[in-house]
Amino acid sequence: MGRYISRQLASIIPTILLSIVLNFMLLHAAPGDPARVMAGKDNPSEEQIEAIRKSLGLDQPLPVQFWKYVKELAQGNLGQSITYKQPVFDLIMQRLPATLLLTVTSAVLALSIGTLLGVIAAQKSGRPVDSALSFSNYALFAIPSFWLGLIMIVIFSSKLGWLPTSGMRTVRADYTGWRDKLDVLQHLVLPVATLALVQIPIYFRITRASVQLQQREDYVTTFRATGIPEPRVFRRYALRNALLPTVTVFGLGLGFVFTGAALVEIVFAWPGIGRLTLDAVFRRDYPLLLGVYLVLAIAVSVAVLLTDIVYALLDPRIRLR
Amino acid sequence: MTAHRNAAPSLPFPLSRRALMQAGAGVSAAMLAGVTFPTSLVAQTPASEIPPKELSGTAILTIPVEPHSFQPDYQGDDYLWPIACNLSNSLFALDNDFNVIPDLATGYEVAEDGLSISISLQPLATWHDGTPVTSADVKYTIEQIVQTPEATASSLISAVESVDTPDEKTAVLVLSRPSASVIGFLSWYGVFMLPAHIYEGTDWATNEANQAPIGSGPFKFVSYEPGSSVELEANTEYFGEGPYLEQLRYSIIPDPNTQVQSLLNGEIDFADLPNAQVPTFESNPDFKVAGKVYPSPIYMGLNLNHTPLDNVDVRRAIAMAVDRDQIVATALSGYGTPCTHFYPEVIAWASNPDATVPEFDIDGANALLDSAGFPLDGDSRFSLKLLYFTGWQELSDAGTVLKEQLAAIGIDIELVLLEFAAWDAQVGSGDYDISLQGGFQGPDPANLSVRWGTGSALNRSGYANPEFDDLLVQGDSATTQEERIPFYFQAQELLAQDLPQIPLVLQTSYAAFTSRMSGVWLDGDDPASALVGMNRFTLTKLEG
Repeated sequence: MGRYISRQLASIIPTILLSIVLNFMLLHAAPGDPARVMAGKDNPSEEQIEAIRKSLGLDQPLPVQFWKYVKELAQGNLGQSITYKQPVFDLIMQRLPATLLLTVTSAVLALSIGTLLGVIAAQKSGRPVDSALSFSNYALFAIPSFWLGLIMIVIFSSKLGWLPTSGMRTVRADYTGWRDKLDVLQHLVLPVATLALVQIPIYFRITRASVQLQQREDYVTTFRATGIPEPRVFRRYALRNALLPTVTVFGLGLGFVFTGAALVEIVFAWPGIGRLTLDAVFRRDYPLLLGVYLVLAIAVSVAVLLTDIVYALLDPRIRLR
Repeated sequence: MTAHRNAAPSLPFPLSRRALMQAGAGVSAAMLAGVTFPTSLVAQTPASEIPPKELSGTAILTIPVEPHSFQPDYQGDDYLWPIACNLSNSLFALDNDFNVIPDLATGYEVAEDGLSISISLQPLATWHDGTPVTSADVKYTIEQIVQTPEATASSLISAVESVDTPDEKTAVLVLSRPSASVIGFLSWYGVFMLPAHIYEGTDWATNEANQAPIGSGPFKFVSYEPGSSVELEANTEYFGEGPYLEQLRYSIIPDPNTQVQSLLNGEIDFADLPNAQVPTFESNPDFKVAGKVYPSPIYMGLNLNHTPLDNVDVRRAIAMAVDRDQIVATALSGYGTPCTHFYPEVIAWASNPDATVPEFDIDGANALLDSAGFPLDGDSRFSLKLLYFTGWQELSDAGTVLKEQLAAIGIDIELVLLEFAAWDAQVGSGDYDISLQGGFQGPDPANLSVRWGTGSALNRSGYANPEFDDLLVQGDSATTQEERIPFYFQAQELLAQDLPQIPLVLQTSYAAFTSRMSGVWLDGDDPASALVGMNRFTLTKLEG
């Protein structure tokens, strides 16, 4: 197992190096000039724009800029944000906890609920329960997250008054201690529910299909033929094998969860990394964007690594290959 | 902002169109000034002691994007702007009708030769750390802005050569040439006074105070929760009347629909309104609604370097084919007015009523294009690429309407919708025929040179008219408003004749706030709106 983990770990390094090069090239290839955006109030002069370009080092050839970026990166320095004039690392770390709270909670919730519903649907295959669950999940899958978020706000905040509309804390209040934690929890409900609801169909569909497939496998028939009770066959053998694909989807899906979270963060004014990224895109804040993309590349790579490890634990054939 | 809707205050702070101040509502500086930019301005006698403060309530406002820092001068930041207006003071401010009113200054006087402006300062003004505000602060701030080409206002007040400090409460701006627009631009953007004792000798872009600012305004900085909120508290040592609120908090809510729901839910007290929401709030007794027209018309910038737009008859035909009433009715849902002048009618004194766009006349436009050598070939004469940008729904809708309108004279419009920075880059490179845009053109008609002056950064049309440039130089050099008007009126006549741009409409922007709130700067029915500058909640009170 140890060798397996180190092999997987080593494979992450070239992925991250490649992402560093690609991120830099793609960002600089995109149209837009941070100097113009920075100067872009009402009345910039060409001299002003040129001065900004020079002060940001954007007047230098691209290979020189890349070399400087890589050199700083090698020393663990993600650089300074053009717009915030603060270290990129600090800016990301200020917002990462909020995003992790949102994404991890919703992903775990979606995995649990989606898988459970998938199992139920597979067991009741062809019956009204299966049809109802399948229909609801297809409907959910088709709804864009930002729209769903707005509908949730209108229903649960404006009409029913049960939950706050947006933010992470009540701006009007100065809660501390457990009351503050409760306040965050109340604010967390709607964004987490929104983000979880759009992920549930993914786990539902995979689990349902996977369980149905496993139940038709020869080994399951053999177990049944030997007289092992059906619940035991299902829980001990069929279900365990059926869950393997969900583990893969969970790991690989984390990258998409970050993307989806950006939209939800905007609708619910959740102070996470998605909003920071969007603002950086509009401002063409290259250092900040490169930093965010690098952190995401590392996060997704680590998630994939963890998935592989969990997969290997669940299925010994993997690590033996 | 080059193109944003209301521009720096480009964005979120719609204000209301309002009637002139009622006589007897108070001796405001605006009334003393009468009209914008006289050669001198004398405010009320400054208070000899700090006015008593009666504080109650916390108002929750909202901004759509977090501020990038709390230093308001070194780079443009539309989202810091409304906060900075309450944390800091500029020397002057613009009231709800765009008149110059005193802020940290008590008045000014322009020398007879126009080469210096003497500015007197509020005697009781102090920084939030207790240090008195002096002319040394004015000297540091203005010289720093002028000497830093990256600073937003550097090119606007470039006529200022240096600042003399004859005494602690008098600053004298020494100008390299007479420039009447300096006072207007010192009332505007990126010109908040900074404490010299904090900033002098440091890098003003990275000074620690940029994260915990020390201003002189009616509210003091308390805290900032990144991405969430900004908290200010009343400055009980504020030199002027107010503040009346204990606290001012800004909740950062990016989505306009969420802002509206938060307002309805009572989580915030003040928000901008999408036009579609205006009737809902107007009929709700819990809220007041205020609308305002900024001098930020939506217009078509025409690329004079591209054929056939290099032909003035083609430009005139396009101008004749535009039905502004239809754009107002459809793209703006009725919330706006046609813009027919070449300097926005909102700043009435500087807008030439006789320099207007050609009358709407489809037959005339078709005839003009025929005679200009662009006959119809089937249904079409030629195609043009129209660039506009995302994030401004009314602008996008105006683009769609224009496509239909210009099809009526045989011009095929290819609509190209881009994200703002990409739009800016492409228009800046000259790869377009028509750019649909907006942008603040106040507070002074000297701003005309920024958009249409030869070689100016925002002059993407390639318009180059030495006579126009000369008129603007003369307009800025003249010292009294009466002397300035003829130059700017002539300049607008040249624009009407040459048509490097076609003004379209002025959008009315709206905000709603709880009816428990009074003394709001954009509430035209409230006398307070003539006493404080834009975005300032100095005189705002909350009942209940």
